[in-house]
Amino acid sequence: MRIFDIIAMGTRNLLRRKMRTFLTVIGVVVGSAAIVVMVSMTVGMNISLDETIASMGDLTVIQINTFNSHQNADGEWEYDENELTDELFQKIKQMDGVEAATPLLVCWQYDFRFYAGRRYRTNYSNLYGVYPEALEHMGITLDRGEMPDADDTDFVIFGPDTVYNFRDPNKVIRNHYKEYYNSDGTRKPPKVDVLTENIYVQAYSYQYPSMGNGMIMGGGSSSGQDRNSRMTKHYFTKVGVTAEDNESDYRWYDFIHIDTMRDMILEQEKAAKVKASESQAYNYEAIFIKATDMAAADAIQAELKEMGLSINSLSDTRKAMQENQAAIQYVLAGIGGMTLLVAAISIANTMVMSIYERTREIGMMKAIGCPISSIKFMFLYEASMIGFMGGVLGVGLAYGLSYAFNNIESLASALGVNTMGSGNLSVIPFWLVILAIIFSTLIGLLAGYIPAVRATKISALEAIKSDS
Amino acid sequence: MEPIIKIRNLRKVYRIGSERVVALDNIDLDIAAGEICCILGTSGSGKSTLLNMLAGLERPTRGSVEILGTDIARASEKQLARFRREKIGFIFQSYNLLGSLNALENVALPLTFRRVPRRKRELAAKKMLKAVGLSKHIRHRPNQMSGGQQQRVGIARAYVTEPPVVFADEPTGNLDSKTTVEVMEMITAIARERKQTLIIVTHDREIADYADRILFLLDGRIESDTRVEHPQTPPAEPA
Repeated sequence: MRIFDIIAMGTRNLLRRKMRTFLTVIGVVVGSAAIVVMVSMTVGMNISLDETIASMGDLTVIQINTFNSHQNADGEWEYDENELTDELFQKIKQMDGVEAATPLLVCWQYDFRFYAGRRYRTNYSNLYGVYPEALEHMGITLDRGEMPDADDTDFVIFGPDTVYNFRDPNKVIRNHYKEYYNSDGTRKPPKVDVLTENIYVQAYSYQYPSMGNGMIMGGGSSSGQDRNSRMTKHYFTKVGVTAEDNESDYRWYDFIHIDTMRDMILEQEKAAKVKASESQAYNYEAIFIKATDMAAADAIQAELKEMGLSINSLSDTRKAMQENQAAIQYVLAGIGGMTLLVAAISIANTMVMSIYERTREIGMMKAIGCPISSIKFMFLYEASMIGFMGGVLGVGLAYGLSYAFNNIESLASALGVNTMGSGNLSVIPFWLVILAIIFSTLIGLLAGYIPAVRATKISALEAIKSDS
Repeated sequence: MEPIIKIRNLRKVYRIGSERVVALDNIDLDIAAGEICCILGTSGSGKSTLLNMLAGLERPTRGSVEILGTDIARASEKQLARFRREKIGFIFQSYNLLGSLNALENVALPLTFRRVPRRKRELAAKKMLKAVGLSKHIRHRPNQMSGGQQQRVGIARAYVTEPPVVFADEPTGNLDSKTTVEVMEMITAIARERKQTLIIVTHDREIADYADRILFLLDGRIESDTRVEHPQTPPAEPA
């Protein structure tokens, strides 16, 4: 038989029993709609999970802090102290999978004053000493100026707010508000443009020995001032200002090369005769690590934990969240699968019924020479047609349900699933539509296979004999 | 003249529980092309078994059935389907029309199996329906027709492919006597006109009157083989 003739005949057979075909199709509609909705929820959840994790930060980034707080198994907060030595940093730098790493050097003992030309300077700076190679991985992007290369040493990066710290120390300011703000409440531009001025930094110490009256305020001791002014001035060749909308917490901080900062600390300490054991030149607040990929990040974290360090890793959080969601997803998939299984059984049942009814017909067709393959094909066509129509209508139903889930607040909460992030509860990607239709057609084909084979085995003789 | 059907040493034994029933016992039979042959017998004589074997619907226990040079006792299922499709027409007692198809489509069915395009096969079917006097019932479904009309559709279906051999299994078993005459005349007239071999299986002696040759089957053996020199011509106009 020609394919078209088989299809025409099969279609006619389906239409002959409209009610039964319709009810079987309904079964598949429910099954495929269930599958699509369940999968769409999984997709929706994964999207919002990814969004949540992305908003939490880069998963290939690890930061070891001196002080680390975390919840223990009982849910109580615990505080651990990590000893961040330069030796540790050197070890980390040699680890496999480390793309870039830097300590964050801080110094509480001295102030670091930036000078712009002769007139303006800052009083203090929240200064970090870093290796430039790690800067971009720390989420630092520049608004203006030039990002340092890995081998640059004379660079400085100001925060979008720290550029306002430049002031004229000799100017007497009567109204601070008027000095820095316009009448409409907007901020006046910074006094200096750090990109055009000649900038240098100098370490400054308030606390020199034998200040006499015990005052530690600056300006009291001329010998102290002399010492501060003798400190090396470090000039910069590359200056940058971080972006306003920088997601990182670094907008109040300035960065210079770690070696420059260490030199300044050591110079002050030498002048003050600080013992080497009390030096702050290696006082790391944190060690920042960028791994080549997520697998490497996991490996590095495991190694660090083995070394006894306390770290909170984003990937641990992510794993916990994913496991949590996987459990929900298995349940969803199970429900969908079960409905489709019922639909498949229903298709098989319909086809078996159909064969019983058409035994005579099939026997006659065989007797007058219908190819066996055509009989099989016709039954498979009928079964897969039921699956196909069910799939198409099921996708339609799923779109409706998906819309309802996404737009009716109480439905989502009734289902006990909360969407993290901004995403929709249910997202139906195009591949899911195609897959659902193919899948339900295949289910029909599969459910129809055994009945179809049975149909071909009907004895023409028996069929003709069975009198009407 | 070489016979169109050659049966040699044909034996069929059924096993019913522990009992063995010999349905056909060493049948030897030649049927010439164009012959109208009636296999007559009571129920249980083995006549249906013989027909089934001739049509390749059932396999013999022993012996050979050769039709048009093909031993159908040894053919595969696929070959048999092809053989039936191309060489055989079949007329059933209970018509066996497809309820979802109209008269035209039912008649065209064997051509559909032969992959004949729609236009061509419907033309042939229309011609055939005209020949059996059903030009006005082309679009009718089987349930809109009388038994006699349905059987005429069945006849048209059997002859539409112009097969060399046509089998008729109790073709009038479900019909009244007046319709029986009409149908039998039609079946034999078409076969004679086209010089086709027609094999009729029946228990009705009156049907045998339409044949050139009457084989009487009893307990699986051919009890008598009579040739009718001048087949009785039934009245030209039915009363």
